[in-house]
Amino acid sequence: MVRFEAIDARIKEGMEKVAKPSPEEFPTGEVAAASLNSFSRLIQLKHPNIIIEGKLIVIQSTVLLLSVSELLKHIKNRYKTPGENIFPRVVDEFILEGKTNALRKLSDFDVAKASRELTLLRQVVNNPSQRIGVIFIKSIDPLELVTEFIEDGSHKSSDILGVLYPPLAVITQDGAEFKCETPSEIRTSDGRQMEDTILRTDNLAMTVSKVDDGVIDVTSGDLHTIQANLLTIAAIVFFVVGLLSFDVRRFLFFGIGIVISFALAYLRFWSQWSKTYFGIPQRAVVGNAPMNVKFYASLS
Amino acid sequence: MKITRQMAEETSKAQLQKSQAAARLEVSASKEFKLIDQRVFSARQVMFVSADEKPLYIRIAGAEPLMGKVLTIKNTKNPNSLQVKADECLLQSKVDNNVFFAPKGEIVVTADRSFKPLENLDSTKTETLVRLPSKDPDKVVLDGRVFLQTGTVCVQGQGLFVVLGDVNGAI
Repeated sequence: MVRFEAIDARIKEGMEKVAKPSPEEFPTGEVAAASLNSFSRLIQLKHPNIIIEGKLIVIQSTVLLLSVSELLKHIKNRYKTPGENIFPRVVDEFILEGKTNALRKLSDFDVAKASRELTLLRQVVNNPSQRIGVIFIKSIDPLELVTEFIEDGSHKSSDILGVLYPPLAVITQDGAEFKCETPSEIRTSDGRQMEDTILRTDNLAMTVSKVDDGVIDVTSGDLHTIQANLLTIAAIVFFVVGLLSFDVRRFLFFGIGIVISFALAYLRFWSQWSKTYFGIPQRAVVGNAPMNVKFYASLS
Repeated sequence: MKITRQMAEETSKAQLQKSQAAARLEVSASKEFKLIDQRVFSARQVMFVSADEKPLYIRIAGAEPLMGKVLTIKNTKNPNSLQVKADECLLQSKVDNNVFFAPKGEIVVTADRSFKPLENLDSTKTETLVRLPSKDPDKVVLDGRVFLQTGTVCVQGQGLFVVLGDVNGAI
């Protein structure tokens, strides 16, 4: 069986060949590319062989390889609820926190398509630690998981190929395609040095060493932030003044302070006017989670 | 490396195309050229031939500068065409519209490459979930269990029959 170390050695050997190309290695027209430090967010592979933890997994179809974090980001940003967007939060609760009733928060909406994808994804992703894993899928839109593969010679047709953790090796002789993100360092046998480019290859030997998870949730969409903060501070100040007045038995000031503080808090957080004036904060998921890869490939 | 039949066919095809291009160039070169304003062109294949003994200077991004007499650039697998852009005016052959002469300046050939699955992943298309209608059914009977004044009912299935009743509700 082909071992991970053998693939790794082949890539290093390929890197040396590319750095010092000889005419025998690369007959006319043949160009090889190699890298020991590249980043890619998505890799398309035809009939790949995957070597992980001494196991050999063969997939007899075209699949996409990406990090779980990247896939989660895509799903979270794919749908939104009108007004305050609660969809990213629902995804976190349903997929990562295991709250089966999280989808009830979307009960007012037609979630036929979204819930199908969330349910599918939940079959393989159900833990925040899986974000640094990688996953093979058949398609992104709509999401289709790999349900047929061969593991150590035994054919699995009803199992789902779940999350795999780097390091893992992938080889294919039927073609692969991927975009390398900056700051990738790629060399080719014709002397070019490339950074970010789309590579189409025939033969590919690749190892995925880790996932650089830079995906974060951000909140945006606030308007008149300074006024909103001033209103909130004023509400807190009146509330504190009211409490202090109660302490010194000034009940009139206590009443006035509490009433004004609640009125200001209502104006800031719960009134219809505040929603249009201050805006509704929207949660979005940004950043990338590329896979750190080494590879040796013949360009097609 | 063995030369396969396919490679041999491709080689002979390339030689044929090259000779065709050479013939076109020969015919055009002996005729008149006209000055044109257009500087950007699109093609699947483009050939550059030095007009005299001086070599062409070629720069490929990321590589050392090269020199040569005949340069052919083509897209084989990339579905997008090559974009050929000249920074100075060109002369176009009066007999063949696809033959040009560049007296000076630089011509840049590029081709956008796209990786379709990445376009899916980077899609900014966000689908806003549609609020379900508030007109709800009065009565829902599921395996004998009756639900009155329910919320909107959504039915999904791999394969299901739907039978519509008449206005009085009879099926």
